[in-house]
Amino acid sequence: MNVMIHRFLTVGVLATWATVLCYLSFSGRLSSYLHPTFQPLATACGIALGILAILVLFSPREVMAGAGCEPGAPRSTISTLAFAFVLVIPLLVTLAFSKGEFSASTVLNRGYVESLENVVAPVVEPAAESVPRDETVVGAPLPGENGEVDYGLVEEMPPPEIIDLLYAAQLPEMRDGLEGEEFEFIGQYMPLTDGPSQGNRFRLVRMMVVCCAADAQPVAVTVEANQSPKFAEMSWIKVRGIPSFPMVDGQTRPLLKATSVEKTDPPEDVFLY
Amino acid sequence: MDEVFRFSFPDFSLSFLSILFEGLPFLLLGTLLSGLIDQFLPARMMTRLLPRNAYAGIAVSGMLGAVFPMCECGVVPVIRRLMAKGLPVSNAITYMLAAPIVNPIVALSTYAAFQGQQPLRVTIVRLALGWLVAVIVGCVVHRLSTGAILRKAVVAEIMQPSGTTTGASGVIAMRLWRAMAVAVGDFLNMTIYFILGAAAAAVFNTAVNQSVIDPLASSDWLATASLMGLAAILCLCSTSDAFVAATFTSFPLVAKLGFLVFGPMVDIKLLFMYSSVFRPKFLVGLVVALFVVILLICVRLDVVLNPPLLPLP
Repeated sequence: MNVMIHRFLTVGVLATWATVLCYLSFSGRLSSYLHPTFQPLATACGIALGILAILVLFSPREVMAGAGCEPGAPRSTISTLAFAFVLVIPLLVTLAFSKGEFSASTVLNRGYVESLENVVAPVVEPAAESVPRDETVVGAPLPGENGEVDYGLVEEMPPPEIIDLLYAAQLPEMRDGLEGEEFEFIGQYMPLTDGPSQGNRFRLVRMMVVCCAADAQPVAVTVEANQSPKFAEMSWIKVRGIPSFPMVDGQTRPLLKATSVEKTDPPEDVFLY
Repeated sequence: MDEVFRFSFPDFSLSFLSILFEGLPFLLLGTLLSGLIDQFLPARMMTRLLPRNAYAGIAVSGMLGAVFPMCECGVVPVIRRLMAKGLPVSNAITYMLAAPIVNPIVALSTYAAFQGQQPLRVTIVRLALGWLVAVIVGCVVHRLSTGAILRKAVVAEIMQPSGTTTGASGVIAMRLWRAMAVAVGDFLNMTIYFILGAAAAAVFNTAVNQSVIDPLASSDWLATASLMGLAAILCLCSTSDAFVAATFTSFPLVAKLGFLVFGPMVDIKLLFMYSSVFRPKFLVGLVVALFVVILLICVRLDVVLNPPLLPLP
């Protein structure tokens, strides 16, 4: 009887994990948790766990009896149930409560990344002659042979992201291609509670991930609007604006001068990679 | 003054699940390997392959990760099975500590992450330091009795006459069934500890204000100790932790090395996983020893990393 309970609980646990991983993978929700590099591994893991669940279900009785006698394995029905409980309940509860994006609480705890030196990614040397642009940077094209970047001529390029403004603050050749032009940025709204807020400034934030959401860092630029915006913290907004790069405390920092700010839906990938 | 602790359950859930989903494939891989080792690796084969001299064997064990790369999540069930197959405890612990660092994937990721910050030197020093620390620990462990290191259940596992937990005999099909059963058993056992560790890490990760560690960057000692502590809290995978370490721009390079060497050897989730194999007293001693040894070596590494007259690569 104990062997049968052990078998069915094992199958139940493996099948639950397999179902969760496969559901998240095939519904596209896995991107809320993992960097694209790790997503195929998690998908493969879900499929492998599903196969293991089937194998355990149909395994010869003596095999499961042998496994149950292993030192350290649960022996009594109660400990087997407790094991299964710990293996399944935290997974399902956290899955039910996880919103797929962080709240202001974690953003404030992690602190804003507002300059390239603090970006969690292989950084480009600001003083580099040629710019080996990192593949994690979204949007900005490589400078041409004369070192200039013309976004208007590169129609197939995706629009610049917040992170590109941080790069441009360090790279004069990128800055020249952005300054004075109007671009559209999508990010999350956070009020400016430090520095020169002047009532009409706020932060536009995107969470940047290296391997999983646990290491996400809030990359932010300051936005200057015509009037004080009224949005809930971390709500998704679309900002049209003209990037500028004033000197703040002896460092070049990006400042986005907004021409329009409006609420929008979250993008397909809530994280930057 | 910023709040030091702000807790949000949805944020905790997101961080907790992402740690689980990232580590689970590696844990599964490790346990599948452990099942195959249990059923197909002849007893004492590992001992025959290693040099007869115990200390030379420990030194070689520290480099096995270059041939059999394993990340820290997968290595614990593997060493448990290797010990059951006759690998001495000291060699197994050396492999366990070194393999997540001394392997080609970590070398490449460290080199990529530290572009512009002495990448070659940092990569070499990281791998060498990981190997050295693991070998030092292995040599010390060699002088201890097995009973003082391992939990009773694990000692019983090792002491079985066949050197296997389920008997490595019979037709191939039955051995494969048994390997699968052992792998599943190991996977479920280790996942319990992994869940507990991931939960603890997620609380620190989302609820604790990380600006509290910034003032510690002012001295090499404090900076190294605090980044080592942070590595234990963040529970990053050794294949990608260098990308995080490279961003601590206000911290000296020696502190980042402390982060890169200590993190793959000791973190919150690993403590829970280690506790399934090691006695609590030994585990406390191991963690303290690793912390002290790595801290002492790292703060002295400034001479190697920043020599006044040598050109940097």
